[in-house]
Amino acid sequence: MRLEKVLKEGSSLELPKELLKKARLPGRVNIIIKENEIIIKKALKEIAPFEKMAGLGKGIFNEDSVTLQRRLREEWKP
Amino acid sequence: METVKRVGLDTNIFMAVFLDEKERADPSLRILSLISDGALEGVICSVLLIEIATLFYQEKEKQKGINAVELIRGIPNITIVDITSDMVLSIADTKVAEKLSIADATILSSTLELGADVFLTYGSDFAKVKKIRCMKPEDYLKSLSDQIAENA
Repeated sequence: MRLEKVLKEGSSLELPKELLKKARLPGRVNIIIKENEIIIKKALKEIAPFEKMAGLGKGIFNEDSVTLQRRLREEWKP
Repeated sequence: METVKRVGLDTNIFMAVFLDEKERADPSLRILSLISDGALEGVICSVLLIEIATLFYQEKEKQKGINAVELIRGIPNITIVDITSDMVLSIADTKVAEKLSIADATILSSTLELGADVFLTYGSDFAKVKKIRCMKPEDYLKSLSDQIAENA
């Protein structure tokens, strides 16, 4: 299905629930913005929840989060 | 109807959680929880994911790096901004105007492009940024609770 719609400035791009259902949404989507088009694609994989994040890197690093980030970004500086 | 606030997130927010850092992990997780619940919208740049993976890969922890990236990508209500050629001028402008490194400017520009209200970071490099409010998660959480108290 292809839809054509005139959007005025300040309006939002809302899609009918029936269309979302047809596309098997909600779920994670990729939205690709180009100069003359917006492409919405369903992401391929559902992934684990964020609670599993806590402590994932414990015991691996010798520096704190801010120092680790700063060290990486210093590589971008001349 | 009140609109959901959009927040940009820096790499150190996620690293604080991964390292389970004493002072930083809890407020960072609370922000991620608000995002996951739909009370906030998160914005991150794909460079952030590169940085996270790189840090784990440098320690020869490739699988944990993959897990870390996949976990971040799996958080609901986070938009990941890929850097495309239409963003180069705004990144350059941010880099020069705000006196940031290219990496800092790239990550901040992703937040600015999506019209976020605030950029959350523990990095002091963003302290003098003028284009957007930059603050620590705990300060932002406090400002949110102050707003709720004012509106009550």
